[in-house]
Amino acid sequence: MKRIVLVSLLICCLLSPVAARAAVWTDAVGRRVELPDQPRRIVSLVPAVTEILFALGLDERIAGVTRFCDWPEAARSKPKVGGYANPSLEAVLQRQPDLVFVSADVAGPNLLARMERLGLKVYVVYPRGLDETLAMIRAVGRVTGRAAAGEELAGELAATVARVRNAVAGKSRPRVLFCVMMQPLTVAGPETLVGDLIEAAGGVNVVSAGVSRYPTWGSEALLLADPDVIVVSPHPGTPDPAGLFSAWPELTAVKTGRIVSINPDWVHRPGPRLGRGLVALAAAFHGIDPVSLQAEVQP
Amino acid sequence: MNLRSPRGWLPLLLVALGLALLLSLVAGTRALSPAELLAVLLGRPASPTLAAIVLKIRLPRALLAALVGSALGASGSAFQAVLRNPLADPYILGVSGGAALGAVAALTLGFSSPLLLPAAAFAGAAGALLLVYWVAQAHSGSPHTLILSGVMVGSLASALLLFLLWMAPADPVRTAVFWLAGNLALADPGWLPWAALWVGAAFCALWVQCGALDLLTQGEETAADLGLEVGRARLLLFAAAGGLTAAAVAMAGLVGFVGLTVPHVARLFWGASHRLLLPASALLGAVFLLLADTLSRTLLAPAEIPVGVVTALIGAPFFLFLLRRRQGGGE
Repeated sequence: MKRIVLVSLLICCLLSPVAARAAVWTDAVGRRVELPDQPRRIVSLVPAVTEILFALGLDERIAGVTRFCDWPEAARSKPKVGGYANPSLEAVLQRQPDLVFVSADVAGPNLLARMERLGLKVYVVYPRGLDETLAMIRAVGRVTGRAAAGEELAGELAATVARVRNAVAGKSRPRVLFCVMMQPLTVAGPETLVGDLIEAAGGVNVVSAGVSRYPTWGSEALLLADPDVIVVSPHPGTPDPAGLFSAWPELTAVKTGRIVSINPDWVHRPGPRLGRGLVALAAAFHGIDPVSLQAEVQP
Repeated sequence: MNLRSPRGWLPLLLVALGLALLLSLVAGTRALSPAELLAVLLGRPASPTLAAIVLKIRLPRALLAALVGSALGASGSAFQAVLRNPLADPYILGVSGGAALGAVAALTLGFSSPLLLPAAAFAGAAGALLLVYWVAQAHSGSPHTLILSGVMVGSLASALLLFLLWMAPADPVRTAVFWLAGNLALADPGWLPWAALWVGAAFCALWVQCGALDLLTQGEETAADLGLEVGRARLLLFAAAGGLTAAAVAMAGLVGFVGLTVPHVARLFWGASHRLLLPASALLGAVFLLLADTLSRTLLAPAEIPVGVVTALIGAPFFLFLLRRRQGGGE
C-alpha cells in the first residue's frame, strides 16, 4: 500500500506540468528563465544561435529566424521575423514561440522589456569572446534539451582551438591588424571575439584596448602600427578590400603581400564555424596547412 | 593697431593660420618634434613612414580642412547677409539634406568609389539649392520664402534619407553615418587642386559683390532705393555661397557650426563691412576647422572622432556665450 501511494505520488509529480516539465535557467545576463524542458517552437534572433540550433539537429523546432540567418542553407527557408536588433514583434508573436534567443550585443534592454511584457520567453546570450562562445554553445544545448549534443559541439570547437594553439606554440607571432570595415577604417580591438581569435591563432593584435572595442582609425594610425599581416573581409559593399591598401606601399604587409581575405561569417559569428575562421587565421599567420588543423568538418 | 583696416587684421589672421597649420602637421597619433617636421619638409625624413604621414596624410588633410573651413566661413557670412538672419548658416537652405541624400543614395546603391561619394553629395546639394530657388523665385526670392522652402526641402531630403538608411544593410549605413557627422578622413588628396579652384572662384564671385551684400543687410527696400537690382544680386550671391557650401559638403560631409559661428566672431572683431568680413570669415573658418580637425585626430588617438562633433562641441557653447553677451551688453 505504501509503495502504491509512493508510486502514484511520483506519477503525479511527473505529470504535473510545473514540477516535472519545466526547467529554470539563468541566461548570460543573469535573468531567470523558466522554460518547458523541450521547447518546441524556437525563434532565433541571433544568426550564430541559428547555426548552433541547426548543428544540434533542431531544424524542425526552429519557428523563426532573422533575415541575416543565411547558414546553413536550410536557414534561408525558415520564416523571417526581421533583423536581430529590430525584429517585428508582431512576426515573432505570430510564430508562437515558447523560446526566443536574443543577443545582448545587438538587442537593447528596450527590446527585451517589450518582449517580456508580451509574455515571450526570452533567453539572452552575450558572446564576447572564445570562452563565452563555448559557454553559449553549451547553454543553447542545455536549454533546448540537447545538452549532450551541445557539449559535443562545444568540445569540437574547443579541440580545434587547442589544436591550433598547439600548432602555433613557440612560433614567432606576427603583428596583426584586423579590419572590420574599410570606410571608415574600423578595426577590432583586443577585447573582441576577433581579438581572441588573433591571439589563439598565434598573432599579436596591433590594436590596443581603448575607449571603443572596434575603434575607427585614421590612415596615420595604420602607417604607425605597420602590421605584419592585415586581415580583411570581402563583402558586397567592398568586394576588393585588399586593393584599398595599395595606396600605402609604405606598409610592411603591402610590401610582403600579406593581406588576407577571410569570410566574415567565420570570424564574427560566435557559432560552430568559428573553428574554420581560427584555422584560416593560423594558416595565414604561420603558413600551416589548414587541413592538418581542421577537425572532422561538419557538412 | 587698427583691426578694422587690412593692415591690422590680415597679418594677424595669417599668423594664426600658419600656427594652426603647423600645429596640425606636428600633432597626431604620433606627435612630431619641429625638427622632425623640418627634416621631412626638407626631404630628409627619419623614416619613409614619417614622410608618408606628413606629406601624404597630414598635409593634404590640413589643406583640405583649411579649404573647407574657409568655404563654410565665407558662405556663412554671405547667407547671413542675403537672408538677413543671424541664425542662417550654410546648411539652412536644405543644402545639407540634399547633400546627405545624394551621398547616402550613392552609398546604398553600392557606389563606394572615393570619387562618387563627393560627386553625389555635390549633386544632391546643388539639386536642393535649385529646388529651393525655383520655389522661392515665385516671390522674387524673398528671404522668408528662401528659408521656408529651404527648411522644407531639407525635411523632405531627411525623410528620404531615413528611408534609405532604414533599407540599407549595415555597412553603407556606418560609412554614411561617419560621413554625415563630418569627416576629412575620407577625402582624396587628388581633389585638392580642383576643390581649391572651385572654392577660389566661388569666393571671388562673392567678393566682387561685397557691396551688394552690405546693401542687402540694410533691407531690400533700402538696397533697391540705392540702386541695387535685388533679385539679380540675390541670385548671384545665392549661387556663389551655395556653390561654396556644396563644395565643402562634398569634401568633408556635414561639418556644422563653422558657417554659423565664425561670421559672428569675425563681425565682432572686424565689423559688418563685407569687404573685410568675407575674407576674415574665410581665414577664421580655416583656422577654426584646422584646429578642430587636429583635435578630432588627437583627442582619442589612434581612434578618430568625426570633426563635425568637435566643431559642434566648440561652436554651440561659444554661440550661446555670444548670445548671452549680446543680450547683457546690449550690443
